[in-house]
Amino acid sequence: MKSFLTKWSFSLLLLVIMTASAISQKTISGVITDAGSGEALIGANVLVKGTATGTITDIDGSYSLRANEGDVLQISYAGYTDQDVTVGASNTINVSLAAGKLLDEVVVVGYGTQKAKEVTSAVVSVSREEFNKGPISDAAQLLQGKVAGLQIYNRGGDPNRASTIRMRGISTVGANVEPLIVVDGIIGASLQNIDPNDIESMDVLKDGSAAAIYGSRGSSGVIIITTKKGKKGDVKVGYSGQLGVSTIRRSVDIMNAQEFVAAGGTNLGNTTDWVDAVTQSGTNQVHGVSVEGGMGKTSYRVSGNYRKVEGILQNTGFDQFNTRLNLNTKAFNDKLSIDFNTSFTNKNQNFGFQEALRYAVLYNPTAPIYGDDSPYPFASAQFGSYFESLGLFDAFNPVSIVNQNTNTGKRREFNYGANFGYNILDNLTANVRIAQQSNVSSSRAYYPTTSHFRGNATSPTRKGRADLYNDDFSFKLYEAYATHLSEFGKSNLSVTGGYSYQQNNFLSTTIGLGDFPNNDIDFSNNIESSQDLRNAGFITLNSDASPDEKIIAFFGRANYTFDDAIFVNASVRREGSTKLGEDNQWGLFPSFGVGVDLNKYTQLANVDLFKVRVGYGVTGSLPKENGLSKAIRVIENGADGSVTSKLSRAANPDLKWEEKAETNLGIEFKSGRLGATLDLYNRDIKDFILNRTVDVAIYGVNNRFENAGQLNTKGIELALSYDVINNSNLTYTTGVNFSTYKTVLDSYVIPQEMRAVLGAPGQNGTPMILVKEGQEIGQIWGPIFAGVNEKGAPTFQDLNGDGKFITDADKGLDPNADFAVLGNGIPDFELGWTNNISYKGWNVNAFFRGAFGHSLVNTWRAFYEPRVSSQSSYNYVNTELAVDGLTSARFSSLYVEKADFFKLDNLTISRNIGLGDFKGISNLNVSLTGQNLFVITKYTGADPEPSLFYNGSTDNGGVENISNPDVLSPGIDSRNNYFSTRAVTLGINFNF
Amino acid sequence: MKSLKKYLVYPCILLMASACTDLEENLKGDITTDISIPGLPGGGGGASDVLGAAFAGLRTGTANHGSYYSVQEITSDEMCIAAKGGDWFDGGILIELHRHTYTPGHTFIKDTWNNTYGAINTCNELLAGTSLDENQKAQTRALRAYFYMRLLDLYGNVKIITAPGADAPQSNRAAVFAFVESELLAALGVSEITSASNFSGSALGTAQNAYRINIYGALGLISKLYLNSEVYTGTARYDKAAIAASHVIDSGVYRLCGDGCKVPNLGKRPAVASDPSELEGYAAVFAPNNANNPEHIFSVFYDEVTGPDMNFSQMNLHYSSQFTYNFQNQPWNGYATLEEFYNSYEDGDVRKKNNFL
Repeated sequence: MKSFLTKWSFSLLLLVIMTASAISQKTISGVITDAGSGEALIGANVLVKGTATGTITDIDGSYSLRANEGDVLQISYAGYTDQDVTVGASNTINVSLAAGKLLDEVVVVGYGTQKAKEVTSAVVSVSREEFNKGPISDAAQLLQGKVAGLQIYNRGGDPNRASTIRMRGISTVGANVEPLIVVDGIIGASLQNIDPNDIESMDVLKDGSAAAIYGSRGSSGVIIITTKKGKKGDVKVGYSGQLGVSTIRRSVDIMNAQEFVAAGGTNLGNTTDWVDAVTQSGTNQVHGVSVEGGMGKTSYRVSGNYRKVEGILQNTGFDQFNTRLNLNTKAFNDKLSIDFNTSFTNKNQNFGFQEALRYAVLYNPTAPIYGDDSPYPFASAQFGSYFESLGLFDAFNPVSIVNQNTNTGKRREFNYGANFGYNILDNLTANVRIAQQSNVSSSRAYYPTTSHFRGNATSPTRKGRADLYNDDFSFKLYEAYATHLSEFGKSNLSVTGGYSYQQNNFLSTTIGLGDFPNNDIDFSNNIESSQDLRNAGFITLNSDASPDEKIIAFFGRANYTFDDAIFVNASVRREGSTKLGEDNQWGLFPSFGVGVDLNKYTQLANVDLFKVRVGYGVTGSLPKENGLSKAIRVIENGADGSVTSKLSRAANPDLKWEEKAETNLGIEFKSGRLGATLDLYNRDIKDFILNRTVDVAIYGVNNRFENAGQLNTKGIELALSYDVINNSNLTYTTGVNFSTYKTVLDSYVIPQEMRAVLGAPGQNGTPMILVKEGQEIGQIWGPIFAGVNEKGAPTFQDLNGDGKFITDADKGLDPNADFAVLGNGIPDFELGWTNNISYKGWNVNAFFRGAFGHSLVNTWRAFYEPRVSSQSSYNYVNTELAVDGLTSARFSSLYVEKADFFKLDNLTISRNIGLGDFKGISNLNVSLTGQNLFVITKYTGADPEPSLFYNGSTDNGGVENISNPDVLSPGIDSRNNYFSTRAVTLGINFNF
Repeated sequence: MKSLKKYLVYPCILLMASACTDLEENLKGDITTDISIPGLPGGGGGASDVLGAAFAGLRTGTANHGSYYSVQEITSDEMCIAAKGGDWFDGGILIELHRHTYTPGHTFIKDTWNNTYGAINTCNELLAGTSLDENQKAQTRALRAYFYMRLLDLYGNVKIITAPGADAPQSNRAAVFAFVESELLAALGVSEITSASNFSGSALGTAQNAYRINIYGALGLISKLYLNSEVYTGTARYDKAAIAASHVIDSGVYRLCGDGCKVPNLGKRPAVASDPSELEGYAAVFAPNNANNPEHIFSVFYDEVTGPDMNFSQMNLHYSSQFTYNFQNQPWNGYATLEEFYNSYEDGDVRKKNNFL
């Protein structure tokens, strides 16, 4: 509370200082708009001619500055024709600018906006019109494939699992790999609390020089989201709705009952399609209503969005209600502008059990669903009437999993943010921002006494299980910064400086217990009935609270332009975090960039833009966890009530930032209908924060967190756009973005290691990924399959020709090992291809996406395709790659498949229906969207999309640990992946 | 830029310098300092004291898969883990142990090393502190000597570390042997083991608690050390092994669990008449409720609540044995004995009857 008050008093003090500094002149204010559309122009320059006094327009196109009568205001905006207006008696000057020959947009950069032309770093702005269409509930997916170098993948279609986002590939090992999200200026805002319908635009800061102003959290890129604001004028009500159906595009190829019996499978006398028995047609519906308007100096937008999604697996999905308010107003002769926004999300999640898909693939296709259909006497009642094949490892009736158990959660997110901007002088603006966010989530899983899967139905005494979890996350942000503009001769200088304070707090509770009386109720809501309470050793209880996780920073930036053609940007951020070692909490993050509009000097014929820019920037990465620099101990409770403790992690007071230094060279070109942007980058990431093996004899434990290792990534990104046809009836524009990169591990904690173990049954001790200094990351490493011997075992190639076969899975690092690179989990290049055709109110948007050169370990095949004798009680995976006579499962090249793909990611056909003013409805738009309509790939698994991390193997009803993904082990299509889906959606939008 | 600093930085620093830049990390959910609270009095012999975490170090891997027990057993002719159907091939790591073709990178070998040195560190921390009485010091030294005995036996040349955070050059096997011997002798309060040795000067005492070390526990350990001396040092010390063992036997404190030495059979299945209601003699020594067995001199503490990590039944039995024995959890169908080893017992040997299914 104290810190909250001091922050407030600080903000007030700042305002007082600002007000006192104002001097006596007349205040002129107004709005700058586009002469054609009437829309506000954001970031237009308003300058008192012949002086250094000037300002830029805000998000509403408004400006205010002080000038004398008779002064001339010069209003300019990139891509528009300049206009001069003489100040008269009126205090209001509104100006409409006519579009010039080049339409130049404004991009949002850290702590401000900049004209695209003046940007010297790799920033891509994606507007609402360019977003992906269809049933998208995860804001990140709006951008999938749209920005060269921004990888967004969501393998399969689990509605409750967020996308994986990577900026230019792997950006950190051990720290936070996901980009920093900034929503309306609020750093670190939650992507979960923003409905895709409310997003106006997204700006992606790709390189280090752009992200450096965000300091320690900028290494994985920054995505800046701007939400829709209200526009002044009459109240406008908009509705947007979607209704869609999704189906399985592809699952895993297995045998049907007949094939299975013919292959020697155990015949239990039934015919069951297990996949069919646990899946369904997924549905989704979205209803969004927005109200916007404004009077006087105030404008507002209020929206409410309801989403309901049911996945293709039974009993999975969510429903969510989100509401958002944006309020913008001005006061004190328009000197003070206040922007307030708040949003609330209430989400009910039905996580269900993704494992059911795994066991549906694996389960004996001749087994019955219900115990009464068992070919032998079976105690149906004990298992809730379901059949179970008892005594097998890792086998559970998937229909029983889906129908008997529940796994649900609730999530509530609330945030607000207020930004106070004040024009202290005409050329000096100060901003104070205050934001808070609160996320509360809980989940409950319940396994009744008759559930074989985790419910312990086979236990004589201890049946049933409940798992409960609650957490509470809160976030505070206080920032103050000021921007000063000046002009001298042909030079313009804008300087920004500020302070930032961020604090996170986290609380959680976990409860797990069992032994419930019967199935009368869901005892997760009545855990006091548990008999485990009489034997505390069975109970899992955990609680945790984070310390005050703080990030404190001072930052400054200068943007200098000369002759409206040479642009220089420099920034520096000094930032400290509580998460690092006491001696190394503060880091320095500088950036520098230069850009030149060559066209101004070369004056090439037919060229509209020819800009070259170079940027260099340093950013950091923070670990997710707290206390990594500290020694941690664990309690040992004795049977006699004694308490002692032992060391579990050694201290490292020198722990410091993980640092990324990136140089980016960009060329922007536009000539008539053709536009092109090329970016080349080179980046070095060093000092990963890794749990490193240390000498246990000295430290007492064999691990502590240290800074170690270095990665180098070099990449090329190219974006092309072309207006193929452009006449009044028909337009066709197409755009391609292409990216490729290569990441080499320059140094690491040990010279080489193998990781990503395949798992049980039978393939523990079988790592698949080679991590080696000086080599690319993502190399799948193993022996090369040669054939099958007389015992049905695989034979491998003697790669080094020494006559010995060193092919056991744990011998991959042996100097004489017959191992080879079997593929790489990272694509060689990725492609996005947009096509947009408009004809008389019809619009067709086709978006194709592909990734090429990557491989996937098809773990389904690696475990279950060989005709292993014990597998005859389950089912066999059976693709076209199955090898006759192979009866033993050993990881090799046989299971590593090229997974290049090219797909029609999104096809949308829409029609604007002109209704005139039919019963008050205008702008009616109807659209039909198909996702994943076709996929061209040779991969035999469910989904060829790259897999960028590995969660490790789980088996026998274990719970997958998703909290610690291994980013050094891409390329593994794990058994817990969802099937890929195809969706068709009908959408309707209209305004009242 | 200068004026900006004045507006933003100076007021901030002047008004609340500490709040502006305070980055102290006060952990809430983790324990960063040693915690030690004695238990109930009356355990005797230092049983209810600060040694809990040190002795708990014995549990790790001693009756579970992947560490000390596995390295000790499946490398021998007593046990192996063979591939069974699709299960347990595991990249060949289990066959390697049995065939002795493992390399230093083998995870079981590494984990055993880490667990053992971790336990030694807990002992070193205790000895570096000031909270131990003489008995506790002697126990901790004896316990640490036992962990070094494991290293001596499994690895041979190791670093002898006797203080937390300290480093030392690698010692050869004979030097590690000499260290273990000297530590046990010091705990026993004698300079060597002879028939005439008098242990009344030992702080270990004679109080009986099988989960802690008294004089007889230390004598048992040193006897075992001498028994293997020829392997460790090239010099046989069988005589000393016999003398140390005789001190335990002659004390009369312990006896073999024979007829009449019995405990209730916790595993008796109501529906199976042939399951005995009591376990007697040899079977009672290894019963889950063997806490007060007269044969036990020094043993590792396991129980369901405060002493977890014993996994023998899962490691050894077949998946389906879950239903035979009404287990809570499914066994793993892993560890198995070798035919030759099983046949090396004569029919009628109680060990054959009790140790195998």
